[in-house]
Amino acid sequence: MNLREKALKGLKLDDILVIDADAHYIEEWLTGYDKYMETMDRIGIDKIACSMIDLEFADLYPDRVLAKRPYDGYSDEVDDLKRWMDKPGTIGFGEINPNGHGQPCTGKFFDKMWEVADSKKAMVLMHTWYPNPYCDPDMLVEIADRYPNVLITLIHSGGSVEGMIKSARLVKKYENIYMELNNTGHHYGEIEYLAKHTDINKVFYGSDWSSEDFASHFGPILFARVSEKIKEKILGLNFKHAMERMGRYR
Amino acid sequence: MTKLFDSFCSFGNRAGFKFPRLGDVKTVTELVKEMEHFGIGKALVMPPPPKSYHAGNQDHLYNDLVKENNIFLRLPLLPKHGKSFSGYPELELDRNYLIDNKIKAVSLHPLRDKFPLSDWVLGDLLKELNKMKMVTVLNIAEISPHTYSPFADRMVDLVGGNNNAGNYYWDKVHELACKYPGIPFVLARLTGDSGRYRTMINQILEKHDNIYIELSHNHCLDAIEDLVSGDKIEKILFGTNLPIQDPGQAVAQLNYADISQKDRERIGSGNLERIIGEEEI
Repeated sequence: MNLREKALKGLKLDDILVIDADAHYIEEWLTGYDKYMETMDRIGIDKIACSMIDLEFADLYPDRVLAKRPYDGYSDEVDDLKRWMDKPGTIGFGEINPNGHGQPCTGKFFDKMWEVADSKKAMVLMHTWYPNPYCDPDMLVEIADRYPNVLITLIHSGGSVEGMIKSARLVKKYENIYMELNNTGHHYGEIEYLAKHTDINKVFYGSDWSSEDFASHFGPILFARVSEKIKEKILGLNFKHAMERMGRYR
Repeated sequence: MTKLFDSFCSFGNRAGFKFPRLGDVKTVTELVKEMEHFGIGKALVMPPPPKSYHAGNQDHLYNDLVKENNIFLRLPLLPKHGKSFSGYPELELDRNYLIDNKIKAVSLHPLRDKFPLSDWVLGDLLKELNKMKMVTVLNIAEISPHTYSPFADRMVDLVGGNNNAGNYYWDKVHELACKYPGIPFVLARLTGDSGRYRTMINQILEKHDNIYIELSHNHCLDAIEDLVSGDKIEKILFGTNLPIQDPGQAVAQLNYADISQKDRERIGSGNLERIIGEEEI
C-alpha cells in the first residue's frame, strides 16, 4: 500500500521513518511525556526534534526525542549554551523566533547563539516569514556566509507563497540552508513545486506539534504527485542524514 | 474510506484574487480529478464570476461546473443597494434560479469585499436568506495579497503593515446569528492556534444552534477531537480551501483524528448534507 492510500484510510505510518523537525514540549498545551508518546505511537511518528526548556524529556526517551534549545540573547551565557550543545541528544537551537523577540535574526541579540552554533557545528531552526523585517528568509544568506558550520533550517519556509519560493531558491543555492514545511495553510501544489525547483534532499517535514496537529502537516506530503522515495526523504530520511552528517543523530 | 463532501473550495479567477500560486486547477475536469485524488466525493464550490472585466469571460467554466453531478455551487454575495464590482450577477433569490444553477449556499466576504458585517448594511439580504434557510458561509479570516497565512498577517500587524480586522467580526457574527436564526451560518477559514480563536469558536458554537465551522484552516492540536468531545460534532464541516490550500492537509487531519468512524463520517459529509438539505427553496 502506498502512502497516499494509507492517508485515505488514516492508517499508521508504521513502515517508514518519520521525524518531525519542528516539535515543541509545551506543558500547558499537552501535559505529560506519556501523552506525547501515545500520540506519536498512534500516528507513526518515530522521532521528534523538540524544543524544551530542560533536557528531561530527551533524557527519558533518547530514541524518540532530539533536543532543541530555545535562546534568549538577554539572559543566556555563552558557557551555558556550549554545555547544552555538548549534551547527547541535542541537535542545536530552536525554534528561534526573531519576531517574538522583536529582534532581527542578523542583529547582535543573536550573535552569541550563532557563534556557539558555529563553533559546535549545530543546527539552528529559525522561524521565517515573508514579508517580515526580522526573519525574511533572505536575511539568512548573510548568516549562512558568516557561519558556515551552522546548519540553518528555515522553519515555515517563509510562510507565504512568495516566502516559499524564496526559501526554495536559497536551499538550492546555499549548502548550509535547509527548509521545513509546517504552515497553517499548506500551499496547493507545494511539494510538487519543491520537487522541481529546489534540492529536495534538504526539505524536512515538521508540524509545530504540540501547537498544531501531526497529520495536517504530513497530509500534503502523502498526497503529493511525487515518487514514494521523495516522500520518504521529506518525512524523515533527509533529517536523519543531515543530523548524521553533523554527528548529532541518535 | 471516509465519505467526503468539501464544504469550502473555489474555482476559476476572481477579480482581486491574484496571489502567486504554486499549483492551480484550470478546468472542471481537473477539479474533478483532484477531488478523486484526495478521496473527495462531492464539493460545494464557489464558482468564478461568469463575466468580469477584471477576471475575464469564464462563462464556459461556470456552465461546466453546473453540469457536474457531484458539484454544487456557493455563490458569493454583496449587500443589496449597490452595483456589484465582483463580476457576479446580482443573485436572484427565486426558487427556479437556485435550482437551475445548483446553488446550495451563498457566502459573504466582508474583509475582501470591504463592507461591515452589520445588520444596517446586510439586513435586507439576510431577511431573504433567513426565509429561505439558505446556508451562508462567512469568510471572516483576513487574507492579504502579500501573506497568505493569518499567522503571517498577524506578524505583519506587529510592524504596522496590515490589519487583523477579522477579530472585530466575532461580535457581529454573534448578533446576526441571534437575529436570523433560520440561516445556518458557516464560519470559514478560522484558525485555532494556541487557543487564540479556540475560546471564541467553542463559545459561539455553544451559544447558537445555527452556527457551524469548516475546518480548512483549523489544524491546532486536537482541533477535531476537542470539538467532538465537547458535543459539537454536528457543527463541524470538512473543508479544504482547494485550490489555495493543499487538500491533503484537511483530509489527513480528519482521517487521522482520534474519533470514531461514525463521527468521522458526520464531519466528512453527513453534517453538510444535512444542512444543505434543509433549505426551503
